[in-house]
Amino acid sequence: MDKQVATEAKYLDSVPNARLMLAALLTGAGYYIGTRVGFALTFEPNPISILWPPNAILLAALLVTPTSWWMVMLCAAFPAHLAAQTQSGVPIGMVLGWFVSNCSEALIGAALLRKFVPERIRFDSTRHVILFLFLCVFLGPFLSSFLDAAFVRMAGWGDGGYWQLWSTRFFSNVLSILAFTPVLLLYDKGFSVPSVRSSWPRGVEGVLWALALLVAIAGVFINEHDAGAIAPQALYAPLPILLWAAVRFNPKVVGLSFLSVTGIVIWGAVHGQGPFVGSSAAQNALSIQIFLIGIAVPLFLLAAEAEERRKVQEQLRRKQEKLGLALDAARMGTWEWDIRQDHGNWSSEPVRMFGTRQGTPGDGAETLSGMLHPDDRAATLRALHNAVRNGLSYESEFRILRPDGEVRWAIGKGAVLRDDAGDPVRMVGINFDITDRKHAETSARQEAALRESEERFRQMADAIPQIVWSARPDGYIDYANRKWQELTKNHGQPEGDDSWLPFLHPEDRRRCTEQWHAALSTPRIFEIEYRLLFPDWDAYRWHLVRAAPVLDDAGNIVRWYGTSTDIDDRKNAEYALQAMRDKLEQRVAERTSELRHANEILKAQIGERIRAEEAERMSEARFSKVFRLSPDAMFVSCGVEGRILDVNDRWVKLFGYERAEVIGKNASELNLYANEPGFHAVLERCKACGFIRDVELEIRSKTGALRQVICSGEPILFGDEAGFIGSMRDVTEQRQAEHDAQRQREELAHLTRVVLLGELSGALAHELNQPLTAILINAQTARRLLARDPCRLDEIRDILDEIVDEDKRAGEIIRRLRALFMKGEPKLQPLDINEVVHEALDLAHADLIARNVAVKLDLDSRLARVNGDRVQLQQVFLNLIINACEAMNANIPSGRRLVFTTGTTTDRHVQILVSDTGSGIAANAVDQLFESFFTTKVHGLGLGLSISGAIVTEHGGRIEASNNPGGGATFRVILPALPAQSESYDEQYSHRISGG
Amino acid sequence: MMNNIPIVYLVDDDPAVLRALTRLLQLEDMTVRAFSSPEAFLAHHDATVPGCLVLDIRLPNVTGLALQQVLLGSGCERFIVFITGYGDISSSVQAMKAGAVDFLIKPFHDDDFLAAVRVAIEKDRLARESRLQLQSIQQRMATLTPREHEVLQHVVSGRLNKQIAADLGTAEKTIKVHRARAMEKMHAGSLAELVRLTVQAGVGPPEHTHDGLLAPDKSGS
Repeated sequence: MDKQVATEAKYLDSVPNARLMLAALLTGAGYYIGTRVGFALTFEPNPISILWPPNAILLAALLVTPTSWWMVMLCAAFPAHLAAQTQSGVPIGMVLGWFVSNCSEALIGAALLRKFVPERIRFDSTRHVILFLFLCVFLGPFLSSFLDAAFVRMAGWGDGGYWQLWSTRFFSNVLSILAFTPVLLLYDKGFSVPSVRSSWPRGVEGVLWALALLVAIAGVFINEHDAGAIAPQALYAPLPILLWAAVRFNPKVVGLSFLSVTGIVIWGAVHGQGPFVGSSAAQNALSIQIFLIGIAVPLFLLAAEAEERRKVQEQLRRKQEKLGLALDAARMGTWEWDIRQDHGNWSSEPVRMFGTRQGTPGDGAETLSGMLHPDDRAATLRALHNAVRNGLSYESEFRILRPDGEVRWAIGKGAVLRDDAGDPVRMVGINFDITDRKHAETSARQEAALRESEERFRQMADAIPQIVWSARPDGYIDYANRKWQELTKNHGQPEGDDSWLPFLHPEDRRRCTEQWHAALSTPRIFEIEYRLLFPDWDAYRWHLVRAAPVLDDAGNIVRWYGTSTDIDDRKNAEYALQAMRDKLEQRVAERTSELRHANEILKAQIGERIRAEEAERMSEARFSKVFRLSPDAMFVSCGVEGRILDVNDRWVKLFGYERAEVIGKNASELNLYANEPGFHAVLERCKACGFIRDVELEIRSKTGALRQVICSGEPILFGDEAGFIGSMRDVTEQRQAEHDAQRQREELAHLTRVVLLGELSGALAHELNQPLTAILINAQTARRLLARDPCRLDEIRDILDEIVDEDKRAGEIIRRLRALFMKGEPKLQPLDINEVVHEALDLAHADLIARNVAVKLDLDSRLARVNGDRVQLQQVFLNLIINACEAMNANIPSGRRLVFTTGTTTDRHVQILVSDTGSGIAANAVDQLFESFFTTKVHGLGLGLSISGAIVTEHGGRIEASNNPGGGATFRVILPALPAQSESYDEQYSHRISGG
Repeated sequence: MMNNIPIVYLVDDDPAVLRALTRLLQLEDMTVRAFSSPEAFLAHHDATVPGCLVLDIRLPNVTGLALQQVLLGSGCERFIVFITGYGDISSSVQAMKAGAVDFLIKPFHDDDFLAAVRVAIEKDRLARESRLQLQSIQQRMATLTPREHEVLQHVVSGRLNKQIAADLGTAEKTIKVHRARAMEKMHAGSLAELVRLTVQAGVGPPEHTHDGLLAPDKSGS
C-alpha cells in the first residue's frame, strides 16, 4: 500500500502538495484497512488482537515521509481510526485514548530512529537493524502500552488486569511492527522479481526456496490436528528455510517471508489450525507472538549481516574490475613477490608483455631475470635486492627479450611490505610497457636531430653571400637559400629544374641546360659561368656556379649541392682591362710603353690569380659541401669572445695559418684585423642589426701581409651557445687593379691636359706677355722719371704699385699653368663652379680672341657648391671650350659664339651648358663621342672627351652632348651639388680664400 | 700750317698695358687718348687732329688689322704703330703692306716704342703739311679765269706766247697779259715756280697738247 504512495509520488515529484495529499490519503486508507484486519484477527470474544497492523502502518508512514509531514499523517489517520473503531462499536472515549496511544507509539519509534538514522532504513546494516529493533520494535510499544492499558482501564473496556492489558498490547504491537513495517519500508519502491534480473541458478534457488517455505509452513501450521500431535521440534521446520533466505537472499525476501509466515500462523491459529490452539485464546496468542518474535529478531539481524557482507564483497569486486581496466588501459600489470619463498604472482598484463607463459604464478626472481635483456639483467636484480635490503621503493627500467625475438621496454616499480618485526615479507608492484613511448622518444630525438641539422645547414646557407642550392639526382632543384629568395623576390622555394632559367641570359640558357644535364650523370664537380639578371638589377651579372654531388656508399649520386657566386666585378674588371689594353696597344702603344708595362704586370697578376684559383678549386672538393666549396674564406666562431670553431681552406690560404693553429682562439689573440677598433665597430654594428653585409676590412695574415677583404656574416646558434658564421672575399687584387686603372686614368688625364695646353700655348704666351709688357714699360718709365729733375716720387710709387700688380698677375697665370701641367692626386674641395668656369675662360681668353669667338656668360649667381677637383674640372671646361672653338672654325668670324650657362637642377645637381654655333655633332658620332681614341679632328688624339667623361663620372656626375635646333652643339655637364648644410663651411672657406 | 698739338691714340684691351703706355707717352710730353676697344676709339676719333695711332693687333670683336682696314676704307690717313703679344709673320706683313709705320712685339723697349711713335707723328706732320700746300695752290688756281687757266696750261707745256696766241687765235699781247695775271694770281716768281705749283696741284698739260707740243719740237729740230 505504501509502495503505491511512493510510486505515485514519483509522478508527483514536482507537485509536493499533491504528493502530501496522496500520502495522507493512503496513510488514512492503510490505517483503516489495518484496523479492520486487526479486528478480524481478534480472538473472539476477547478484545485482544494477536496482530494490530495500524500502528505499524502509521510507523512506516512516518518513517517514509519527512518529519514536517508527520502532523498531516497523524491527522489523516484520525478519521480512519474514528471510522474503524466506531464501526466496531467502541466507545468514543476509548477510541480517542487508543488514537493517542497509537500515535505516541508511532511517534516515539519514528522520532528516535530518525534521530539516530537520518537516512531511510534498508535493513542492510547490523547497526540499523539493532536500532530499529530497540527503538521502534521494543521501546515504542513498551512506553505506549502503559498509556494504552491505562486508557482501557479508565474506559472500563474489557475486563483484564492492567498488566495483562499492557503485555497483550505490547506483544501484539511488537509482532505487528516486525511483520508489517519492514515490508512496507523495503517495498516502498515497488516489487521486483529477483530471479529475472539474476542469473538462472539464482532463479532456480529462489523457486526451490519458495517451495520449501510453503511446504514447511503448510505442513506445520495449516494442518488441522491436535495441539499435542505436533512435536515441538516441528516448530523449527520453517527456521532453516527462513535462515536460508537471510543468508542467501536479501532483507526484502526475509521481510516478505516473515510476513507470510506470520500471516499463515495467525490465520491458522484463528481458524483453529496449527500448533497454537490448545490453550486459552490469550495463551495461544501470546505463544504465537513470542514464537514469531523469537524467529524474527535473529532473522533480521542475520539478513542485515549477510547483506552487509555481500555489499562489501560487491564493492571489492567492482574495485578490482576498475583497477583491472585501468591497468589494461595503461599497459600495466601488477605483481606480487613473496620474498621469503621467492614466489611471484602476476596479473595478465605482464604475461602479455613478456610474451611467454614463463611468468606464471610461482616463478621467482631468477626466472624473471632470465627473461630480461642480458644488458639490463644485473641492474634490475640489483635494484630489486637493494629495495628489499634497504627498504627503499624499487624502480627500474629494463628491456624484455621476448621469445619471439621482440625487445620491449618496461618500467618496474614496487614497494616492500614488512611484517611486525620489520622483516621484508612481500613486494608488490607494477610493470608497465613503455615500448611505444620509447619508440616515440627515439623517433622524436632523431627528428629533432635531423631538424637541428637542417636548421643549421639552412642558417649557414643563409649566411653565405652567394646563392646556395641543392638538387635531386635528376637535376630538380629543391632548395635555395635566402640570398636566392631575396634576389628573385620570391620567398617560396624554387621548384623544378628550370626555375632559374628565366633569370638566365638568353644566350646562356641552352648551354647551361645542356651542360647541367650532361653533368648529372657524372659524379664530378660541375662548374659553369653564366649571366644572371634579377628583378632589382640593371644589367646581367656574371655568376660562377659550382655544384658537387653527394654520393652514397654504392657511389650513386643522391644529391647535388651548389653555389652561385657573383663574379661580375672580376669579369668586368677583366673585360675592362682587356678592352683598355687592346686599344692602348693599338693606338698609343708607342707613346705609353710604361702603361703597357703596367698592363702586362696586371695581366700576369690576373692570370696568376686565375691559375691559383683554378688550382685551388680543383683541390678543395672533398669537404663539407657549402663550407668547403665556397670560393670565399669562411669561418665559424662561437661564444661572446668569438673563439674560432672551424675555417675553410680558403680561409687558411688567405690568412696563412694552419687550421690547428687558429681553432679555439679568437681574432684578437691572433691579431687578424689590421684595424682593431674598426673591426670592433663592425662587430657592434653586427650586434645591432643582426648581420653584416659586404663590409670592407683590412686583415693581417700570419706573415704580417695586409690584405683587403669584403666580409659578410651573421650570428648562428649552436644549441644554446651563440656563434657567428662569416665569409671573406679577398679583394686586394681587385682593389689594386682599380687603383692601377685609376692611376692610368689620371695619367691619361694629365697627358690630355698637356696636349690641351700645347694647343693653347701661343695664346697663353700672349696672355703672359700682357703683364710683362706693362711691367717693362712701367719700369722704363720709372727710370726716365728718375733721370728727371725734380723727381716725381708719387708717380714712381704708382708705377711700382702697378709693377707689383702686374707681376702678381703674371705669377697667377704661371701658377695656373703649372697646376694644369702638374701631375697630382685629385684634391676634392667645395667649389663654386662659376669660379671654375671663369678660370677656364681666362686660360682660353687669348685663344678665344685669336679665333674671333665671342663668349656669352649666363651664370647663376646662387649656384650650389660642388665637391670637386679644381684643376680637373678646369680641364673639362677648357676641353669643351677648345672643342667648341674648333667646331666653329668654318664659321665667319662674327658667327662664332660660345655660351656658358650654369644653374641648379631640381634634384640638387649643378649643371653647366656649353653651347656653340659650330658644325654640330655628326649623327654617326653621337654614340662614340665619349669613347677613347674617337676623334673627328685631323690631329686629335681622341682622348679629350673620354677623359672629360671619366673626370665627370668620378665626380659622381655625367656629361651629355646634343645638337642645338638652330645649329651647333651643346654639352651638358651635371655634377652632384653639396648639401645645403655645408653652406656655412663654404662661406668660411670662400672667406678664407678671398681674405688670403 | 696748323698749330694743333699731335695726339697719340692708344687702343689695347689690356688696361695695365694701356696705363703704362699712357704714362710713358705723357712723360715724354705727348698728348694721349687711350681706348680699350676699337669701337670706343672710332667713336671718339677725329681725323683732322694730328698725331698717330698705337694699336694692339689682338682685340676682342674687331682686330687691329680690321680697324686698319676700316680707317683706310674711310679715306682717313692715320699713321699706325702696331703692337702685339704674339708676332706672326702673316699679320705683320699684312699690317706693313697696309701702311703701318712700325710693328712692335711685346714686350718692347721704351726707346723703340717712342721712336716709332715719333716717326709716325712726324710722318703725319709732313703729310698734313703737303696736304695744306696743295690746298693753297688749288685755292690760288681757282681764282684764275678760264682763259687764264687755258693759257697757264699752254705755258706749263712749254709753248711760247706766239705759239699760244696762234693756237688760241688771239694776239700775242693778249696772251702776255693773261700769262702775267696767272703768274700773279699763283704767287709764282718765275716760270719754273709756276710749273712746279701747277704740277703739285695736279693740273698737268693736256695729253694731246703735250704730244702735239713734242711732235712739232722733234720735227722742228
